[in-house]
Amino acid sequence: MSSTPKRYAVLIDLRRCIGCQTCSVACKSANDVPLGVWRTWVKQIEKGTYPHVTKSFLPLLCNQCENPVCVTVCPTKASYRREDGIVLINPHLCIGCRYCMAACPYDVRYVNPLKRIVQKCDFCVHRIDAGLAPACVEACPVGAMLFGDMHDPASEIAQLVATHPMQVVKPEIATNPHVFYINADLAVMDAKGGAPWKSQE
Amino acid sequence: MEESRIIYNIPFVIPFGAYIATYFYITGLHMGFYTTSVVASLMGKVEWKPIGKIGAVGAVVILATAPLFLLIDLEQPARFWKLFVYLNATSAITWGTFFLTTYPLIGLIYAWHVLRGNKVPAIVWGLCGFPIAISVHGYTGFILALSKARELWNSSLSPTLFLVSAMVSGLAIIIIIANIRIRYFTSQSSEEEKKSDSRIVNTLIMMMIIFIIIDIFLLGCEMAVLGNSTQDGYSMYKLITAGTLGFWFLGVELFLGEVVPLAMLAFPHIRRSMVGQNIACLLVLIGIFVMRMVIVIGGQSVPLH
Repeated sequence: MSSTPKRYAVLIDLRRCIGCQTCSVACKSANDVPLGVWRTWVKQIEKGTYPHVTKSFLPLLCNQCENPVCVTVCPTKASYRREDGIVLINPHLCIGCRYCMAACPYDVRYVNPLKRIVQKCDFCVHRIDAGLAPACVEACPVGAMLFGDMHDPASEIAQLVATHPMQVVKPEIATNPHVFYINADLAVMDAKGGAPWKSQE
Repeated sequence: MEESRIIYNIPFVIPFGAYIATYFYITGLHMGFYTTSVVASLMGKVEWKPIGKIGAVGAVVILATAPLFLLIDLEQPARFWKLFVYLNATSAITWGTFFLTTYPLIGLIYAWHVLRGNKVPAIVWGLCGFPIAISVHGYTGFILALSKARELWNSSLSPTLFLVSAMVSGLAIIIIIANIRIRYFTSQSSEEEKKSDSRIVNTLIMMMIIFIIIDIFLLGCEMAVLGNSTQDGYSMYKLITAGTLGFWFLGVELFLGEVVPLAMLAFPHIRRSMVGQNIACLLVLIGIFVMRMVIVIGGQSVPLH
């Protein structure tokens, strides 16, 4: 661990997630996210053949990467990473070139159709700075989401990450994501959504 | 893996669209114009002068239109000036900002010397501008190559492929313009001069053939590796070969835009006829334009979430 004072992260325990989309709605409400775009959403898949079937969920949000590609490619430094690890977008510097959207490996950025700038999940930074948890974490009715400081060994998230098998989305591209999943299904982690040719293989 | 069905997911978007692809095409034409012009200047022969002039003027004129496509593509066009103030050394767009603003100055000085017939200054300025002219197009290859999530883009071959296809399209447009000049603007020329002009066009045709062959080779390398890399890479390979983009990539870009012109130009009587040359070059121009579209838009057509 580095010597920075805090390193915020989110842990999602998929053994608890029921796919209710409360996190999506809370996020929309807390961040004034317009219609047609999302900062967080719950991907759902179904697999198997009756009677051996199951559903899997995967709440998706910005991974607040340790090595964020969006920050590397942003030509005006509008995308930047705070010392506590949260990747933010300065709304006054964004020119809307959408290079960050093309480069983001997780498809979590969107153009705000009203403000014409790029936006994304920022772990509800306005709430964090006020000492609150992100809206999605706060709203989750089954306590599947946990927010905390990875640099604090006493924090629940640091202890859970240290003692449980964890997954992150696309670990192979070395972005070092800071949204961790417990019990994530391989099928739901795979980016099959909208790509019918993939499911035919 | 066991078959699974998506119950809910949000739609994916394609951030870079037709404007960006067209911009890449235009900077490619520019590089072809400029490189051919500098080569013509370096030859130092009188009969190559018209090609030098076509290339020098064409490069400046076509590049003047390029920033317009970038501006209208921005969500906040009035904020374009921030590109010059808030620099990010790791962003290929920041590099391009400087290439795009430096080149027109050197390109104009070069074109002025070429048009005035100042041999030595034309060569000096031509060579000075050469790295920037290459970079003006080369950086667009890096824009794509540095996006590591996109399998079709994230290849060390991308910048080279862009440069080679730029030469193909640049030579094609120069050949068409040179043929128009021969057909309509050289009625006063002697038979010897007309023969010399035709010889030069034939040389340009041979250069274009070589670049088309290199282009096909690079595309082949790219596809072979893509089809044998990651799962996303394989998905991309299937999309542009057997999927919805198969017609555009295999049919238009590769077959109509490269194989058909090569086959046409393999016949000496077509290679020497002005109509045959122009049709082959037109097909090449269409093929390279479709290539830009397939790479830019196709490269974003496999969702990442």
